[in-house]
Amino acid sequence: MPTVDPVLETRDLTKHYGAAIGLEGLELRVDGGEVLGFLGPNGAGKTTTIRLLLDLIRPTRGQARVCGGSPRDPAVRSRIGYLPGELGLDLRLTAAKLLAFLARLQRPSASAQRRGELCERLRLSAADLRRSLRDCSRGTKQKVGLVAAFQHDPDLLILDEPTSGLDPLVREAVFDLLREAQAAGRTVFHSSHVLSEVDRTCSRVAVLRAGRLVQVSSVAALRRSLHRTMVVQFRGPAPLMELAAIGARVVETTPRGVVLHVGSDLDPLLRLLARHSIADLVFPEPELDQAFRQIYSADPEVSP
Amino acid sequence: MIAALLAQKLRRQRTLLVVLALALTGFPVLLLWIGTTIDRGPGVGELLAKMPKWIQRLVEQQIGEVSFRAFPAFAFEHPVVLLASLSQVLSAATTPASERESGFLDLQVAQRLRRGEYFAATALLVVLGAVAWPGCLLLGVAIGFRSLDLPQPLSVSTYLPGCLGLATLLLAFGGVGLWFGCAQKRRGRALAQLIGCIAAAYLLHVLGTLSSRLAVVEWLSPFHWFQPLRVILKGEPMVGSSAVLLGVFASCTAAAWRSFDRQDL
Repeated sequence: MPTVDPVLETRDLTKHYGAAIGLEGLELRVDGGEVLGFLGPNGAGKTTTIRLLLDLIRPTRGQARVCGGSPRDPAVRSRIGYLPGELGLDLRLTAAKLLAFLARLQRPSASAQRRGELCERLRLSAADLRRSLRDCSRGTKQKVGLVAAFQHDPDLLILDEPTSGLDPLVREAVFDLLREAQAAGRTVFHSSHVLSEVDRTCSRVAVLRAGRLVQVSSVAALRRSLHRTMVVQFRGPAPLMELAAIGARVVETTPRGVVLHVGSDLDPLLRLLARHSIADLVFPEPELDQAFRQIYSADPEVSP
Repeated sequence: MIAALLAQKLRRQRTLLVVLALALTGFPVLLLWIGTTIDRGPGVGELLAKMPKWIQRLVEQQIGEVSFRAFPAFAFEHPVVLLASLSQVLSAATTPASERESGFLDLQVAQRLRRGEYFAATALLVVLGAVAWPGCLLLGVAIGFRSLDLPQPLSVSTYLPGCLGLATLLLAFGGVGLWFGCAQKRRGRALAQLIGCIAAAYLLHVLGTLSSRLAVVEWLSPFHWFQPLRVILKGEPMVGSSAVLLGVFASCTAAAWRSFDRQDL
């Protein structure tokens, strides 16, 4: 059963690189059994946050607690499975030797049996494992990184772009592994800018922009907060004045109908539409991409 | 953990290590063979007389009188030996910079591994190199003594001070290498700084040997504290020199650890 204790908690976590801000005052809590999507454009501070959570870099201010302790404690890090966004491997080793080496640095639960099972699921063949990493494709290296992250059954998975470079079949296998991890009460910190993936795997998302946390919410709440697009084809002339009066913004008028941006409260709009004769109405499920475009395009200097 | 890291680092370099071990073991045998060949001919003195005056002066300053005993001793300060053994030691010392550059350090330190353990494994690799290569030379001397027909009976223990001297020199530069290797994020930069440092130290030593005016500052060069020919052939004491070089190693290693432990990886 998932626990409710925070597996990951940061307080005022800040990292400055000279005058540049890597991360500013991050306050974040991730509970046990949760899959959190960690989103942001390039340079938003996602990797900086991950490196702080693993004690690879030291904070300028604030603190992080992971699995109930400081990331400096090796016992804490033994409970983490980490896949870096830019996977750096010792290319002179074979995949099998690298995995065996990393297993020796991980906690004893990293068994050869579990490793074999993961390799099979991620379609890492025996030939792949025997090959020098120098000769492996990007996708194969990514699979090796994933096996290394999962092979010791960690309590917390910190995955930076886990499906990068993978084919669709293996990507599905990764999603299955994430679902199983969540079902087993493990926590997943999934950093990505592939929004469709986050949509599939995460219950909650945290969005970073220019080193600052700008939003933490459930995916559903994020969708609800959107300006949604609706296309209405009126049989008669479009009641533009009435639409403006209820706060629906007319973006454009096309032969397909009037394109509207509407807020989360649909009642006034539906009442208005009920008074008119409607030939067609298209109201698609809002894309998460749309939410992020809205968030990212906001002025980064303005605090949320 | 340290054993796992060390084993992995050694395994990774095994081809280089085996080749270097064979070459350094064979080198004194080669020198002894040349020595026995020359000794049967006109002699070493004639060979030296053919060399430029400044080389004669340098050699004579160091050994006074060239004898067959000097041949194996040359192995401990031969430029090829110094270059080969220093290259491996510096390569080991700059592993942190190399693995930071590739990102492999992240993957290791993110596991159940203390930074101290990673550092200790790297430092141990440097120490192993510093001890192994002079050891190979000494082994080569022993093999040469056993396998060649020597013009005079010689004992391997005579060359032990040369072996220790080279080990301490390698340790001193290994310590500097560790410091640069831990402070830099790129191996290329760390190695460039090291090469600059070693070249400057060597130049200072050579100039100090040639000019009495520079002798005052020559002691700043680690090479000043490394005189295997004098120690082997003239029996000069080496405790002070070894202490200086070990002091350089200890202080640079401490600085390297301080840098590695505190900084962002």
